[in-house]
Amino acid sequence: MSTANLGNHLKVWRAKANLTQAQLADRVGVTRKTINTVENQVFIPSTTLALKLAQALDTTVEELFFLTE
Amino acid sequence: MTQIDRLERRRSWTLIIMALAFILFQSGELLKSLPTLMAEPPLWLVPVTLLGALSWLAACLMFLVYAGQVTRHKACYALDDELDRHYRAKAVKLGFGLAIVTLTLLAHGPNILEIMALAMGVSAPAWLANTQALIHIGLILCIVVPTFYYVALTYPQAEPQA
Repeated sequence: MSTANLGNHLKVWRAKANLTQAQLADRVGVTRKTINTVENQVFIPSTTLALKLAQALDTTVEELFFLTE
Repeated sequence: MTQIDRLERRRSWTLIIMALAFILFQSGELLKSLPTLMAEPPLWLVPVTLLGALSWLAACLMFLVYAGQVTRHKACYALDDELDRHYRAKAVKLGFGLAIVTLTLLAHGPNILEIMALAMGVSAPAWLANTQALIHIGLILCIVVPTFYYVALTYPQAEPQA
């Protein structure tokens, strides 16, 4: 079985939406640290949070997250 | 700094103060229960232990006040988000691991040290006989270390410039 990691374009989409980490955190109901750790690929978000992030940034989960080998 | 950052920072400092007060309180209690090391407990130990107990009580009250403020805050749910639960689980896991190591050392450590001392022809240190004190030290570590670990993980940092 291959070991795939989760990458993301969260920072790019957040910049596109002209939001700070704090503002995005406030929209999805988490702390700024959570957004920061997801952006830096330290923490893998749950499906619920991934969907909320996609919704807040007006995009899809597939656009935000991808698998890396 | 956002309101949530401020609440997080305050939670971290409350936990640090609680842990330090707990160390002061429990260290005083520990020293009092070490007759093998001290023939008679020194006089300064009583006010220090009392100060520790009072600061522990004050820190607990401080935490209750903090908890009250958090539950009234509209964004309190953010302080209990999935990253926080993940960090809490990590801290609990560390505490559990420490408890297992402490128990293992307590169960076998003194015997091993006694055998080593016997083999080297020296007498075993007196504190080895005081198993209750060793358990006490283990208890303090199992509570304080995960608390500091949790604080280190959750302490809010400044937002990086985009």
